[in-house]
Amino acid sequence: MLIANCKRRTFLQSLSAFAALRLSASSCSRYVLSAESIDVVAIQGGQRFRLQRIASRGPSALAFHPSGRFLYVTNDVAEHENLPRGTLEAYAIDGYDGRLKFLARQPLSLSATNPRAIAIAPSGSHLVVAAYSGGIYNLLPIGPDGVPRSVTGIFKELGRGPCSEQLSAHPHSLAFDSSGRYLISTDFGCDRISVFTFHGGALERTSHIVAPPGSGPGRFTFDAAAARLSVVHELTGRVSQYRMKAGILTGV
Amino acid sequence: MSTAIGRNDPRYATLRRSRNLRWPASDAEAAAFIQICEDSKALAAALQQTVNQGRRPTIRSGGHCYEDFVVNNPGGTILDLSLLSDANAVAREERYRISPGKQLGDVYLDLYKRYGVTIPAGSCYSVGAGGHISGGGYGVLSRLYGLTVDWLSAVEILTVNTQGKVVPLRVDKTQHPDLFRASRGAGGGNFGVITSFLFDQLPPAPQEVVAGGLSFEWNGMTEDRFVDIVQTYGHYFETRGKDRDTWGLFSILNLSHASGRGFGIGLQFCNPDGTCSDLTPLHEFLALFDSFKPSRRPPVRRFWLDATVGDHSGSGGMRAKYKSAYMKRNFTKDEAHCIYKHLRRTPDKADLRGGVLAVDSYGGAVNRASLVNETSIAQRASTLKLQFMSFWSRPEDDAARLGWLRDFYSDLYTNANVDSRFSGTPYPGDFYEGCYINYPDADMLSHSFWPQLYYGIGELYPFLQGVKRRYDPNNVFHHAMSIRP
Repeated sequence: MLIANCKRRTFLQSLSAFAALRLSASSCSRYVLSAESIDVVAIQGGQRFRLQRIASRGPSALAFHPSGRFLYVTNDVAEHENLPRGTLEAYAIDGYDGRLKFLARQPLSLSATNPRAIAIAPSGSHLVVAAYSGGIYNLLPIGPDGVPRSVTGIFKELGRGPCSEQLSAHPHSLAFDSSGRYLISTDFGCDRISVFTFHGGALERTSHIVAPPGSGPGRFTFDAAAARLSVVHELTGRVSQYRMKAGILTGV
Repeated sequence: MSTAIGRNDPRYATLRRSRNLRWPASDAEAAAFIQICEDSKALAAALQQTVNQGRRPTIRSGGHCYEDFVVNNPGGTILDLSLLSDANAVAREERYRISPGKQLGDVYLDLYKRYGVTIPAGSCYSVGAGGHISGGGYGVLSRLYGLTVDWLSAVEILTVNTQGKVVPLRVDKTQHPDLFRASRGAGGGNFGVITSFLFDQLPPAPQEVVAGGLSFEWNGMTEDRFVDIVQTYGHYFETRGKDRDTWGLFSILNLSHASGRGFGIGLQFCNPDGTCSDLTPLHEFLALFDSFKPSRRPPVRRFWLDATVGDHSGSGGMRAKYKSAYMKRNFTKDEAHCIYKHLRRTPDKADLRGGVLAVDSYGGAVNRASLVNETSIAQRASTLKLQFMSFWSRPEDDAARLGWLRDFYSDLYTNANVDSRFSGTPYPGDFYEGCYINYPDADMLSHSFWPQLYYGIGELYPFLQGVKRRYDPNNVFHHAMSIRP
């Protein structure tokens, strides 16, 4: 578990701990997550300075709304209001300097503990959060005001891998395809890569592929034009390629 | 065979509810499906399908769960066991077998008519055996015979393994002994779906009992007299009530809110041999209250079966809230004064009729210390068991009703006998022994030590967490108060 934590920390520092939003040709804002805060950092003419620091419980992953007006952050917590679940925070982004204004905190479903990944549909109408410890995906609609509504879809992943870090399912990374019809996910805990689709506010799995046992599928990129998925196996360091056609994954 | 009932089915609105009409609290929280399973094979198939679809299964036998642990299941499936019929109370392989979907009243009838035996379980006819026995199974005969789980010899249970496959197990003292122990008091919605309870032996049903009662009017009641009555009652069970010849005495002191007419004691008595040949202990108990001049409901001799299944329909179809506490000693004067204060209090002129603190006699055969390590019931030293209850109809009264009970409870357990770290709760110690998991109270989740309230301060909760990790590694079976992995 310690190793998984270290890996995760490295992963956060290297990849997901910040995201940048370009505000104009000459300036952009960068959003940096640390243990207990979100920093808004302005970058202007090569200079950077902190504009704002917002306290946040274990911010772990962040994503922009396609409109560029809202930012969503998962809180890597195992309990909220005394129940075993994580939360999601929504912020409005100031169009002028990128500062954040808190909009809402939405609780995830029971047992959706330690959310660490988030993906927003290209239409901006809904988002999906993956809870690492609880092994659960949550689907939440997004209102026109940018506020996520209550969870409408819950999918519980089951399984394990052969390694000590793989005692149960651990959804790791998420991304929508460009049509928004499909959601691709990797599960570090049970060596599985899945494709989900959406029906009436619920999540359904259309297909999955079994990765090499003990490989721990994690970060991935999806090349929409080539319908090609490149997955990093966090436990072996290898990269595998898959193809997705009509929601069905195949090895390359 | 099984029947799936979804949102478009005319039965859905009726069957998605809990008996406590507060649950589900909203449409969004209601389960997507209710799956009525008529045999364990169909149940296993329904469970497998549920987890394959990524849905959450919750389990319902009688639908009496006090909190929303079963019916708050958005997108998920309630596995309804009430028609599960391949495990009636039939002795096979020289064992008694009880199906979790059976109502307790039907279990008593079956066991009595077929074998003349019984289980020392609850008094409410329509409570389902599954949830009740999983959480301990305490009732009118518990002082005489212990808890229902004290008699349990084996359990058949559907678990879901690490790979998401449904695995049926038979667990007992030699096979999967840890899961067996966990199922003896901590089995409610934590580890799997129990499909049968098996008992090698069961105690004989009493032949006859004497039922009676006393009542006291609020009109003219002084605080000092109230304190005396409460302490007289509590004193008996921490002293004379420990003697074996009194174990057939079960009583409830129903301390009703003063907006009603009065409060009283209801009781049932038999001798340890299940007859009523010697009523000396009963008369001795009743005489303790003579000086308070109660009205007496004359003791009536009845057949045990009639007294047990005849008139205990149980409250239901109302909104409700419950809390509980185990007491190792009599009430202190301060406690009795505190109870008096809250029973007489009517904050904001709220309607508090139907608010009651039921003080049940406890101890006797329950308190065999060896059972602590064999079962998952840690409370084996108490002589009183308290249930705080409130019943009402209108949702707009929720805040006043919940507030009264919460303040009452919190105030009562903020006293010199509770370490300040655990203030507001009957934390296990010299005076109290925590709470009963079958009277769950989600308010307790606000205390980080809530597991210790329900499972004690010893090795039990860590043990249960180990069983959880082993038998439900993906936490398929979860609710607000389930064992946290």
